[in-house]
Amino acid sequence: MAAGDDHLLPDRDDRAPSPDLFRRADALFDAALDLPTVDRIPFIERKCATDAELLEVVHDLLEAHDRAAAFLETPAAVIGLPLLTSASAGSPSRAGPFRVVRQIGVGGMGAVFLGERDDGQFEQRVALKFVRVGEAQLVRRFLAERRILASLEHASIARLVDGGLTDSGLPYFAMEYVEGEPVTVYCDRRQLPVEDRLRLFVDVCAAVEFAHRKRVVHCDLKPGNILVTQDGAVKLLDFGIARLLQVDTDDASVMGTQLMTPEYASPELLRGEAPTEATDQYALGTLLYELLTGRHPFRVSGVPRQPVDLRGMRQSPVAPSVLVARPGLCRDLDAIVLRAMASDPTSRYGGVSDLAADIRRHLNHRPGAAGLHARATNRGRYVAGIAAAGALMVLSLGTMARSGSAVPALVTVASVRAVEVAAAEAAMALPELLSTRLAAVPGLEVVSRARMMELVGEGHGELEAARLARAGSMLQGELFAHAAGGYRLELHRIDVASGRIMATHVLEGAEPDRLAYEAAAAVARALDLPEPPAREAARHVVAASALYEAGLQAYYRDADRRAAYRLFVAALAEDTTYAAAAFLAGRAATEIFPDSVFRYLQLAERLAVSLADRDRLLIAAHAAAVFDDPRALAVAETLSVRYPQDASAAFQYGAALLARGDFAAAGVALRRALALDPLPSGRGRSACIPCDAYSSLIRMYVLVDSFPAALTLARDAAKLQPGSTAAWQQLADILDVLELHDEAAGARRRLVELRPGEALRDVDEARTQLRRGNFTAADRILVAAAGSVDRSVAAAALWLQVVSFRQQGRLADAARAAERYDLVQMDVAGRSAPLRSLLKVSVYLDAAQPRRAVQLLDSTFRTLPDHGRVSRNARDQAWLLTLKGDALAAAGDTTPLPALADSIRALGALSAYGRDPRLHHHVRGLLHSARGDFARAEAEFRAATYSVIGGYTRTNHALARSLVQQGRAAEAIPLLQATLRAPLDGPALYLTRTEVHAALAHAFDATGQPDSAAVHHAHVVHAWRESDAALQNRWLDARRRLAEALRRH
Amino acid sequence: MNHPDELTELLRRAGAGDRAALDRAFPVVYEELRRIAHYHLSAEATGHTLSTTSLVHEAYLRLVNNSRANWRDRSHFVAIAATAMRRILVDHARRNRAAKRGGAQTPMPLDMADLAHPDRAELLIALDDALTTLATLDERQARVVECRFFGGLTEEETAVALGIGLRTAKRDWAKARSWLYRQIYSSQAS
Repeated sequence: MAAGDDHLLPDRDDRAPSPDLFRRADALFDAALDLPTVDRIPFIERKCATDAELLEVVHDLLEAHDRAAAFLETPAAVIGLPLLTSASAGSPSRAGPFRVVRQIGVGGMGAVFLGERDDGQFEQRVALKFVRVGEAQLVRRFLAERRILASLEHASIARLVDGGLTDSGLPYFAMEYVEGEPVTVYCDRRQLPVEDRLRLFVDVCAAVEFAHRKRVVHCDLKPGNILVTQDGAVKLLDFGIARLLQVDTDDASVMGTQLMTPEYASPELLRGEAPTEATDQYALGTLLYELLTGRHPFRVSGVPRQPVDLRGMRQSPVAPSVLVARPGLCRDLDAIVLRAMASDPTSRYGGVSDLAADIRRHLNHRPGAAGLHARATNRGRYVAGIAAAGALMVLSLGTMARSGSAVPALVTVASVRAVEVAAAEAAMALPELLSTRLAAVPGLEVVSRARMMELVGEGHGELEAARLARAGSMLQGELFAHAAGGYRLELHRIDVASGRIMATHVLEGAEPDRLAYEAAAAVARALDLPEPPAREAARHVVAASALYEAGLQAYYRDADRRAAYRLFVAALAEDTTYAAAAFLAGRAATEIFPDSVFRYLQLAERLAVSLADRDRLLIAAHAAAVFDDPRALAVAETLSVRYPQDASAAFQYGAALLARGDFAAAGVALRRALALDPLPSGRGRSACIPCDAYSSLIRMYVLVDSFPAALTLARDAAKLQPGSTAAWQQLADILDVLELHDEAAGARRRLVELRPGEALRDVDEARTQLRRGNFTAADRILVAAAGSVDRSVAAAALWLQVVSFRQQGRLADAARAAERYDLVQMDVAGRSAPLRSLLKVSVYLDAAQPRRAVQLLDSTFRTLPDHGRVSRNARDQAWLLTLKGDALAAAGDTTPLPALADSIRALGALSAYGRDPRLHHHVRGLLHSARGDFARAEAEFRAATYSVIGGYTRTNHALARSLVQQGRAAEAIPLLQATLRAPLDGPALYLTRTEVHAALAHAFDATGQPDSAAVHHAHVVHAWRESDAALQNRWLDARRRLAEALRRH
Repeated sequence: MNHPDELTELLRRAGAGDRAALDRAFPVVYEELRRIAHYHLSAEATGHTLSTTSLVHEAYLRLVNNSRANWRDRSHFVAIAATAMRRILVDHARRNRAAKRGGAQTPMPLDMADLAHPDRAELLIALDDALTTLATLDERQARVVECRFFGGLTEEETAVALGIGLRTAKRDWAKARSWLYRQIYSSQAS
């Protein structure tokens, strides 16, 4: 800390209270804050009657409290970086007659500033360059540039205006300030036709030609150094590493080679040879290529001074007209470009003037001028032909890799080691940057960084980790830092199976992100894969991370999932390789679009290009699970096979098996997930694999009717996650089923503690009462809750009211409650409509009004969105049709049932949730039952059963009935008992508990167990004591049987 | 200490009140934050204003084994990072001011002039002083301010990070802000 600055501070401690005073003031302030605002001042005045000092402090605090409402509310997050960025220093504020206005760019030699003349003589804006003193070479280069510029007076070259030393002794010079944009940007923004591009290019050639006549080689020709002004004038800038032929010393040339931009550097320059006019010509050829096609021919970085194998780095590029089709782009131009870019300098034009002359000729004789310059054309055709063949080969390989006939290559980035301290930061960043870039290569899959770090963290060596991650190749790099700035990356591609280095790519660059891009491109090329899409650097990236950042705020701080989703998707639009944004967009989407299956799956598929393999599979598996997409199981299985050590993968697989109904296998997978990641987090929220695994395992045991096993796990889970409402809820529900009421009450008390003020608490309490058959108590709570202004509370209460009234046989009341539920939920989007009609249909069926039920089902069916093969909608349709089957069977109309079963079968097959693909068996069972073929009915009902607890309870009931009909009532009893253990307001809604009790009583009577029957008759008598007329006879019958049983005692 | 699990473990122990673990975790987090801040500043001279939240987020991703750490670990991490962030920000603010006052040869970089608001730096320094004083009187209140203001945590996250109740976190925040407000603005007025 800057302790030495303390004397500069104003004395602020004058008002700091003594610890004792603070303690007393704090306590009084605290007590005052508990009071209504108006009572606070009188309160403290009363308390401080004899202590004026205390009164003043607390008075101040209360006043501050009122004023400080917004104070510090905006976290430092918003203020942070601007403060950090202002820390650097060192640029002068003026130079000679010029005032420094602002920085306008960074050149190879340092920053460039905008300067304004303010000596009152005349108005002039200039570009100012300074040089860092103390670096002799830099100063020498700087002076050389000044000398060169002074010799170049040309309309298309930025003029030297002034030069000298600043007051503090820094050398500077001022150049003509050019307001313009890079030539490529200029052309693209105006969408100039080929002809206009060629004219501009000829102007560029003229400037370069002029410099060459003055024996100056520019050495760094690239779009950023060639600006075009508003009125279309070309200006050549930055002779910072230009070389005065035959004058400069060797050190300068070496330096120039180091500083140049490799993408425009000629092969001979990359080999370390001295620059010549032909070097500039090569760069111009590259520029022309870019102007004509919109793309850089190679996108590669080269390396000077190193004995590097340059094969593959500088072959002939694909001919422009082969790469893109564009009016005016013809073979003639291909020939010109490829000649200027010939690898061998002696094969290029004799000079830039010849190049320009050929273009001028082309412009004059367009389009049929080919024959007029036979030499270039013939040669060019030949080259273009070869290039075209090469392009086709590359394309076909790329297509193969993409089309799935070949499995995408899986690579992993192990590490990048910093060889020098100066490279340490960049080396840390590179593996992630590189992974992201590689993931964007079509046909390439990348092991996620998290996965790799996980494996290495478990103590595996990098190669072993790569092997465990199933990668075929592993990338390992070394990073060197240049003294003059910039890095050199040596990246080895290692075959994981043999451990041998298959290739080494050497790349240079100033920015790690750029370097990562180049490296990814080099790897892709070496594997004969297409290069990753180049993202337009700065602007997009900056915009994307700003959007991502805003998305994070919305997601985590404001919990506004919709806003977050929009922001993440916007970030993705800016930068399609933004894996983190893609991941969070996916997560937010699952939370806010429970019905928009399409959107989510599309998103998940789009992620294929931007995410690492494991992450992509995880998201796809999650998405498929959320939407009951049948692909869920396949995706999850792939995930678990590819990443056998991954807890998330094991969990997803287990969850998919559980949904499908393969309970035994699900148990194995879920236990495996727990073994890999055994410790749940306390809150049970956010992504917690062990929390989810526990919950799913418990559910699995419930579904197979193993409540004791479920209880043991649920107790463990609640103990491990004392803060998780979900865990306590699950435990309480299981305890209820097992009728362990005291412990259940304890669990519910814990729930109340965890969510004080939770609006749905009363509804929960009503549910408990209902399960125990305390209808009066439940109804009292529900009547109050149904009037709540909180719509979700009112809806939940009304839903439960329908359940309660149906159990009591008060069907008119149930119908009224269903109507009210309808009203409350009317304008709720999504799946509300089928749910609402489901509620009413159930009441109609209870009231023996099957025709009315059919009518409502038909009209609801017509309102369903027809999204074709979307699993959610298909499920809704399948369920409505199944209910219709029940209604038709109840009405004695069996003719439509076979066709209905076929429709249900087709719809149910679109769901991954095990209940749905089995539904058609239920309707077939109904058909056989109606025909009196109970054996075949039994077989169909059994085929329809997904889980006795978590299935369609009407199936249980019908199965029990078919068993009783076949004289096997004893087998029906355990089935019906299990049905009573099913949850109350979910699937059990289809059939009321009272009906199940009635069926049980009937089955016990049939097996000659009147005592057991009496217990269930008693339930019916109790429940239906106020039932509607429609049920009166059944109630009287139950009462008679109960009386008989009691008489026998 | 490079192993992500090791830091995760330290975070857990620090969260449980282990002072030694906290002392070992702090420099790691501080260095990482500074390194990332520096990296972003040097690599992206595009006027891209990263927020401290994203720095903290990035530091977390780099330092902590995400698949092993849980939500609670993250809160402990952010609580520590909040303290680290405070130091980084205040150090820079002080350096800035020193440069401005005594700085004959180093005026503010010109292109940054509009970004760095001198009053903000001044306020930050004043806040730091007041917070240091407050910490001697009531450390918990000072920690709440660090978490909320420097770490950008919500009330609930602050409560979890510091192992205190939500009500306490809210009340401490209200009280501490009043103390700091009084401390800073009354002394400025005088």
